[in-house]
Amino acid sequence: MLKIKNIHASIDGKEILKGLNLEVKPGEVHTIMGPNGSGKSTLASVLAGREEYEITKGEIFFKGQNLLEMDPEVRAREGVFLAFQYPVEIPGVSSINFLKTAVNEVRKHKNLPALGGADFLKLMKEKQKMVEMDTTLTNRSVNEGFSGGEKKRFEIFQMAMLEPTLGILDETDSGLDIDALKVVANGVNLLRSKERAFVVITHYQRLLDYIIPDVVHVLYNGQIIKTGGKELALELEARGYDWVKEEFNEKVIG
Amino acid sequence: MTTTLPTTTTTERFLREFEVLKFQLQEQNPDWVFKIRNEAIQNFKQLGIPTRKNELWKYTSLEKIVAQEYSHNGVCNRTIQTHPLPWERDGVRAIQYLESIHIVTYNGNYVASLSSTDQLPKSAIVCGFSKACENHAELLQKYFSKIASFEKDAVLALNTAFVQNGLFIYIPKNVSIEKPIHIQNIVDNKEGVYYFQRNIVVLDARAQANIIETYHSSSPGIWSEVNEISVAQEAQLTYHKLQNDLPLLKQITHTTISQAQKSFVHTGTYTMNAQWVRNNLHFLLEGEHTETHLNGLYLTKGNEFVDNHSLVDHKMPNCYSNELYKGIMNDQSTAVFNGKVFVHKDAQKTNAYQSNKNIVLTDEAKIYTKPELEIYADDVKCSHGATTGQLDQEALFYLRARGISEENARALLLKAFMGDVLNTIKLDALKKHLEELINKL
Ligand SMILES: Nc1ncnc2c1ncn2[C@@H]1O[C@H](COP(=O)(O)OP(=O)(O)OP(=O)(O)O)[C@@H](O)[C@H]1O
Ligand SMILES: [Mg+2]
Repeated sequence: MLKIKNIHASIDGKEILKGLNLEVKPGEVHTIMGPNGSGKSTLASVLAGREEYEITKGEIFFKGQNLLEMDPEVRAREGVFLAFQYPVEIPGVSSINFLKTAVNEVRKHKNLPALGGADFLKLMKEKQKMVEMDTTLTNRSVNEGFSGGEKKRFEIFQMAMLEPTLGILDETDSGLDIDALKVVANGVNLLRSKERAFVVITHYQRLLDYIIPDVVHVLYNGQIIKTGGKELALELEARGYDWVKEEFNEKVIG
Repeated sequence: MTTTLPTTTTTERFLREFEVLKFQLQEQNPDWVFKIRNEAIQNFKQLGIPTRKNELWKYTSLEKIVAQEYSHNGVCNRTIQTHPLPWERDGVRAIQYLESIHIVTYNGNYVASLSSTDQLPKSAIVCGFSKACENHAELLQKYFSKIASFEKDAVLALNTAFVQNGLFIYIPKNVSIEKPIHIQNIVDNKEGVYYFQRNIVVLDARAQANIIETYHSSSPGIWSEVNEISVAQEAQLTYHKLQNDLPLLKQITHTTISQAQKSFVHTGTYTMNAQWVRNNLHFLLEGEHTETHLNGLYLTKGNEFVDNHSLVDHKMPNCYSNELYKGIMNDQSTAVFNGKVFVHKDAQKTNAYQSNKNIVLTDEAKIYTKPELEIYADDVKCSHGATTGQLDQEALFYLRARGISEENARALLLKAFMGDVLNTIKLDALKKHLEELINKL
């Protein structure tokens, strides 16, 4: 579904991703861990189509199509969803209006008829239940004045509404209390299917108790330097990153 | 000397024109009106047409504009032309769904045949300015040139000297006009002309009215409109001005609103699709416990120019004023906001707020904003501020990342930006009309 080949990305002339490779197949859940500043959010931004990043080398294919040629909105309509690490507040844009516009633009792209008011509200109710989303939040402006946890929950709610094929979660677990973490994880698990894949960026193995990944990667200095099964996350939690870095350096030098 | 400065020429042209019209004006108007005109032209002679050296006209070369537009036709001094009216263009007339008392002026003249003033209570007065000079002299004398002083203002002086057209609206004590009064001002003439219009609106004690003024013209020229509005004690007025249909005409408006104690006034000034506009809006708070809201929205594109100057003069204690103006500038257009709040020494317990926010969409578009507070009382609550920025790129990306097209995402964000001005409009039909106009921009 997603093939990233030797991607190099820079911002303001500084190279952040330095030859990154990753392949995600339908139905899989991949976790990306790695120290602060290693390039995890950069990867997520590049996938979502942020224009500030310059791709100097490499290719990305999504469902066989060249992802890098698509505008951000086209990527979203094709099924890429990024749950932002820092969702922006948009005062004056009502959450409901925003969601309705988004859902219907995605539907239009899929040649589906636009949802009318009643059908849309029904869908919203159903998904709200799924992520135990406080209904008063959707009556407010997008993210405006939401608490950190509420913002994250709202991201997952949007994902549930838009039903993407690839969900990228950038530290959605950060700042969540235990109950909220379970709710978010549960939301993701309910969305898991044979056709749908997830890339879960996190610092904490705790989340992986609830969302069990198929593959765990370590991203360091713009590259994936180690890949393993879910037990790798436990090992990282216990031992930190130094041993992985050393192992990698030896391999490179040797 | 054969060469004179352009300043001298335009000013002198007006002076000469006054000499020509003088006898006609003297004949047409009662003496007291002519006396005021004479003072005004003397005053204008002293002041001259403002140039950019005048601080209040810093970004607008009025002198240049007058020189350009003021072709051989000079001051428009025609009497009413009637049917067929050439201005009936698609969509111009109506504010859809607005049920209103309709008043039409054509080249500044009140057109009774197209107005629906029969819906007004008998005690209310609506008539043309010239007619009011004759028939309602006693009333009019209290207001004409009494609310807005031309002493330091050349544009006002000029208007006062020449004006023969406009409206007189009088709402007596305790009378509430439920239906909004929609004044549709139409100017139509093929050549460059200077038009003068004077509207005098009086709300007597505890009267209530909603007034909407719209402007329509497809011809060039300069349109000077002066509104003198008196809101007596406990009276309530909302006054909306929609400048939307002025592709060629340049418009200078001056509105002075005087408020007596416990009165309430809400103004909204909305400018879009207008080539060149200068609005002066002055509030004189003459009584205690008044409430004043000034809202404005200006959307400029192409090489349009919109300049809003406001003054809130807090003369008395315990008054509240709140000003919110927002602008979006596109292409190579220019906007100016200059808002002054003046709090006199005796105006204790004043609450005065002012805010101006702008979005500049291109590198070439410009906004000059200057919020000013001048406070001489010590027990007051005042704040002011201005912001200028671009469209929030983070927000734009967020919306697009959810599948929303760039165009729709921009529209959503701009609409959100304008929301807090539009949401102050209580007349749903007007709000909807504005939203539709904005969508079509
Ligand atoms: N505009 C910029 N100019 C220069 N460097 C930048 C710019 N934006 C981001 N960076 C750098 O890119 C690097 C990668 O940032 P990124 O946000 O991808 O890290 P991350 O792995 O997500 O970190 P964290 O775990 O803290 O979220 C950081 O060193 C950051 O400072
Ligand atoms: Mg990050």
